[in-house]
Amino acid sequence: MPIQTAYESFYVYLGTALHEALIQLITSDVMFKGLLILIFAIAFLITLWRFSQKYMPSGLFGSSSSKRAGASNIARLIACFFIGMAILKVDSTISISDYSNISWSNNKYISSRLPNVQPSYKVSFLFKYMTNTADGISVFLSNVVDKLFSSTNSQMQSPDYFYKAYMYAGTHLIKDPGLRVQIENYTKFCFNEVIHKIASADNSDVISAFFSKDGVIDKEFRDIPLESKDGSIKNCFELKEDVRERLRDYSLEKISKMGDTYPQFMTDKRINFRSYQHYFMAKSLTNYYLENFENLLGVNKQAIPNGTFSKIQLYFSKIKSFDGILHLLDQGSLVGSALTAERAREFSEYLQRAPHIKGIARMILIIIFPLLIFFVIAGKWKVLWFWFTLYFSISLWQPIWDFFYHLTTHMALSKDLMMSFGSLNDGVSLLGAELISEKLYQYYALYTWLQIIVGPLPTLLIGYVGLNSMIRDHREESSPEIINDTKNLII
Amino acid sequence: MKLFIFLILFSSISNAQDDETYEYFTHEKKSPNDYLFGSFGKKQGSIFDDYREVKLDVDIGISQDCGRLNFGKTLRASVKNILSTKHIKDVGRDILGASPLLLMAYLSPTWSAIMSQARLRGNFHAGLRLNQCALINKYVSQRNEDFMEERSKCIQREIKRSDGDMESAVDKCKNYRSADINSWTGRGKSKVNKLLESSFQWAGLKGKSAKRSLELAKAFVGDSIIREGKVSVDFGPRRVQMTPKTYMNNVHQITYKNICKNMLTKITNSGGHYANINKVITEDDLDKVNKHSDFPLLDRQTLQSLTFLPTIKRESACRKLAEALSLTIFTEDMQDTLDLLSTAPISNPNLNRKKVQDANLKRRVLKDQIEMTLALHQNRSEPLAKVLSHINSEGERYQNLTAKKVLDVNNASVHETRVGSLLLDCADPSFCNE
Repeated sequence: MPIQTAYESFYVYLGTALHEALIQLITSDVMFKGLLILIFAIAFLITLWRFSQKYMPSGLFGSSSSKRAGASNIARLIACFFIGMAILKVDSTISISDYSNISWSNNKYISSRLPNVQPSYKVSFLFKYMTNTADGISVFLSNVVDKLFSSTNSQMQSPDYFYKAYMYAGTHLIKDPGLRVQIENYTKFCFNEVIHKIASADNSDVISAFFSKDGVIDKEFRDIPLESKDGSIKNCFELKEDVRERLRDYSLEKISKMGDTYPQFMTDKRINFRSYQHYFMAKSLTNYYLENFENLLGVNKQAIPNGTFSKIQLYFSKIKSFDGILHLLDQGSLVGSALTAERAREFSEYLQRAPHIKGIARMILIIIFPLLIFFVIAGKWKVLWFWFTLYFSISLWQPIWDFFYHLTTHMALSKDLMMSFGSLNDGVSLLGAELISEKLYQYYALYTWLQIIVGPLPTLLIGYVGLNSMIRDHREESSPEIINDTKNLII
Repeated sequence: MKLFIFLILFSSISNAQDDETYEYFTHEKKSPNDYLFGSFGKKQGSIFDDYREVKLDVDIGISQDCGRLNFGKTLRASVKNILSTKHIKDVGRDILGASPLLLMAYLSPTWSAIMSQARLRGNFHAGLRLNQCALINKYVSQRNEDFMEERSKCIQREIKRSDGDMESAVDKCKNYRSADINSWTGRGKSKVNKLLESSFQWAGLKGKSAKRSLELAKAFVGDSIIREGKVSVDFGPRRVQMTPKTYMNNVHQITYKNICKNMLTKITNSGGHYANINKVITEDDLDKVNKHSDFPLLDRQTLQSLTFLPTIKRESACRKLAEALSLTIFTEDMQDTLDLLSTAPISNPNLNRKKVQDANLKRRVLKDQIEMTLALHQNRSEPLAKVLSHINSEGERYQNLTAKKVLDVNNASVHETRVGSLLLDCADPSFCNE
């Protein structure tokens, strides 16, 4: 059973375990056995009664031809009996795995939440073939969508990788004390000395110049002497290079926590690893300055660090107002690390919401499957078809989601965003990184809403039609036939 | 809240190595207010701050008469210690000119004394040049006045008793150079009389602070001592004559060393602002600065504030604190010393008029010196309260900054863990921190 994420697998594992337990309960409990026999006996007797009505005189024991059962009805009932038995006969095993056929049972997320998870579960062959059919078609369609529409990454191999990678980098705060101090020193000692020379009204990306390689300020920085305790830093240029080097090492260390997967999964060569690393560095810096700004606003007013950070924040506010992305300054609770943390939380919710819904829907269907025997054994075999269509519709969510993922990603990679990626390719651009993070966040939010709204739509339609057909009585109101016959005799 | 911040700071002592980088640069800029509290001017005086031990309290060789005048010692002491060569050149020549008298006085000290003081041998004196005689008389009268007075009384008494037998009287009084004179403490006769110390004893001034004031008074103006025919000057245990300015610089250097070198180095070596200052700085450490004051001038909080300051600010703030503290200590010490000089010797009825005048002169000179020193230092010194307030307010600001840095790092660490748990939760194998 191929499942894309561990969130969904969690529910499938729960459902499968309960499915197995329920079958065991039905087959071992005398009451359930008795109930099954009783249902079958009643159904069989009714069928026999209707069958025998054909050979009885019409009148008191007679009935309309539509209610009379033929031999085929008896055969169908017997067949349903065997199908029901097949539901309870657990002689097949299924394992829950990802699209690369790796079992989820060893996954950290699953094992931390389900300590006694099994690599495989015993199910009936009927269940196995029904789910395999639905999942197989789903995988095929997902493959087709992936091949046709994929732009940044394969959704089957690495779900949501593009957004996750950029949101992970975008919500990072620098925690290395040494690096923080170096950035602070660099900002305090060097920025003020040259900022008036490069800042102008039409230059909205002033701060980036301080972190770019071969920047226009390098010559000025070489003439600003500094003195470090160990003598390793002698001027602002050397401090700038030191900050860049530390930032680069820091970003590489943090990116490695993703498992060095970026070159492996990012298929769009325009968004290469170099630009991603620059994005990481730029966002770390942006978050660092926003963090200071947040503290200036409310947390610690006494700790205003000589005004340099305040100046930088003016440039940041300029960046934001210039592009009209955010007007954070009017929203005290949504700046700095608070915003970063909020973004991380929201993005995590976005990531989990749809798989959770899908997983719960699957879980319910898997759990109720053994209970279908009570309908099947009574001859209502269509309930199996109804269950399959529901399950299949849920399996179809995945290719639908994949399609919308690639669609929104295509939309997100607009011309101006690609220009931002280009600026990151050349060096650390705080403005470019800010633009990218804002747009990607917005487009992923759009994608998750499409997931919730469009994905379950077929399932809801099938469910509505199926249930409606099962519940609605198609026959019109009429009096019993004996009354009609009597009335005719009298007349 | 502060306790909370301190707990965080102290609990983070294991990160002290990392946090050393907070002071990575010594290029820290001063804020405009820091210049108001900077130290300016020379660190030391050009003349008096380079101490030289002149040993002015040695026996300067003056006995009770010319015959006991130790020529060699007198010359040496005069030339080296007391007078400038500008003044000594004529004196030396005059003394050499008086050598016949000095030779005779050496052979017969008693006669020499009688002759010079009572002028019994006027014809002998007539042979001397006027300036030579005047010099010796002046010298002897200044230094041996008290002994001569006692001897005159003795001779007069013996002359009366022996019905004018001068020879007998002189003979009986010939060893009077070791005679006891009236004690200046007011308690009978005494072999040793000290102008200041005896007056202090007379006034009943005892105790640690009185002793310290007496020592300071001795160091500034010297205590005139008369004992067994010898006259000497005692400059106290320092054995150095000091000026108020020298003393102030001395106090400043000691205070600076105690605070900025010893105490701050101890704190820095124990982890800087992460150190538990209550353990690192002992009461003995603080007593080295506070011992001369009734109230603690320096407390641990101020030291803690200093440790939070950046290096360059800490250095100037510490120097300024040492200056302010030394000025306070100096003022208190000088006030006590002047008070004692103004009361004890001047009110002492056991001193003759000349001694009282001598003491009063010393007091006036000292007072003038102190006033001048304070007036000149006023331009470069701030009141202690102002300096302490500045250091503590700056320290509090940097303490908040440090706390903010620690909390920010902690916040970033928590945030990273949270982001990691949200995004790197291994919900899909391609994005997993395992």
